[in-house]
Amino acid sequence: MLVLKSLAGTDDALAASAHLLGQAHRLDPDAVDVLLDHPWLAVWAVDRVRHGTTGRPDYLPFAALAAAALTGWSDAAVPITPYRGLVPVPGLGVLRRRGGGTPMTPADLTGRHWTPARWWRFTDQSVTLDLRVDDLDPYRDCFGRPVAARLPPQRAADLERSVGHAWHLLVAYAPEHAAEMAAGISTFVPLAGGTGRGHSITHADGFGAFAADADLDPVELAVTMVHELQHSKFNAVLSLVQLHEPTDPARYFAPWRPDPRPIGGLLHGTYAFTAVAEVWAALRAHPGLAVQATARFALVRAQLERARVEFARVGSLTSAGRLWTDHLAERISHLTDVPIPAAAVAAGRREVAEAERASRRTISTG
Amino acid sequence: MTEQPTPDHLVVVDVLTQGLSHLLRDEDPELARWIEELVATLKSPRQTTLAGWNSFLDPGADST
Repeated sequence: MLVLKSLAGTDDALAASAHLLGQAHRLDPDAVDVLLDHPWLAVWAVDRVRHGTTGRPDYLPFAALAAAALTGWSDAAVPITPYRGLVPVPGLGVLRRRGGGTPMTPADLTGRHWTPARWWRFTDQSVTLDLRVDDLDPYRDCFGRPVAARLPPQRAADLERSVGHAWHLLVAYAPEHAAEMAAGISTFVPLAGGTGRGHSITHADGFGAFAADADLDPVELAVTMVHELQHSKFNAVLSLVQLHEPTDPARYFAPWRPDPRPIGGLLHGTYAFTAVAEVWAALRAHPGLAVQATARFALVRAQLERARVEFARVGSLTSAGRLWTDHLAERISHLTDVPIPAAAVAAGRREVAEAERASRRTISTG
Repeated sequence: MTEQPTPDHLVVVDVLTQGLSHLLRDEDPELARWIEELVATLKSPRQTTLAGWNSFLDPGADST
């Protein structure tokens, strides 16, 4: 809201859209609060503040149109400039519309050129995940990777089943992470390609949104959602608190990557994989997943134990950063106490040692 | 390293109770100063996208 106020103070057109949003907020604060949390609005707003322009139509008028629609303000006229023949209406859908800027009202959001957004609700043991699967909005391309076009009905149905199964696994076996997901995850953007390599990405300014391959199996999807939400949370923390000196030139061994990472990357990865390890540890109790989960847990735990050692090398942590790493080290210690077969422990440690040798070879051969 | 005050942080202003409409009309100089600090923070250099592949799903690829 503060960013929107800042932008409204610099541009009359943005001010008009912001005030329309404000009036809609008075009519229905809950509905418009959901809109104000929309990840593409945040990504656009921060980009606009940072660079002055984004090279495409401003997103705020689209949000104003959505606010008018959500609050039943059917005759609110919002000046809209379509982007590549599309008018995204955040949270609601996309309208195909040719031509330049023109006032639009919520009454225009209908007919054969209107495609509604996919919102899925999953409830398991009374815990609900509301997930927007965004395969429509042209502003979902913020992840720097090609995104999937509108999913065909069968593929969307398959994905809905996978997410439902993933949600069941989280609620049943990792309920604390499920509760966090219910509060934090809002948007899933399918990536293009379906490479089967398990890709997933988070944008620093798009809290609650992540992009991933649409063909992840339910177990991969459950772990991916937990992993990516940690990045969103950690980005939120970093926007408020300085955990390390920004000028730290050192590079650190991050066991999950072949290349040495700056301190920010090491902290990001350790935080995300700590949650991942907790989920794998929990999934060991699933009869059909015990073998896979034990092996994955052993590896990720070994990676975290090595990352914890790396923390000792870091000289750039602020006092807040030390608090952060101390807390992480404590969570890793709890994971270290989890009993698993010696063979799995050894396999995990061997893999980390090999990754470290490979990382050193990478460094030495430059 | 240089010892920093604990923590070095941005003051979080609770504007949620005001409502957007009221906030947009608010001319409070202190609010203006908070916004200035926020804008300065947003303009500071930082990584904006985590273009990482997850190694736990794809051990051969790079990740976060």
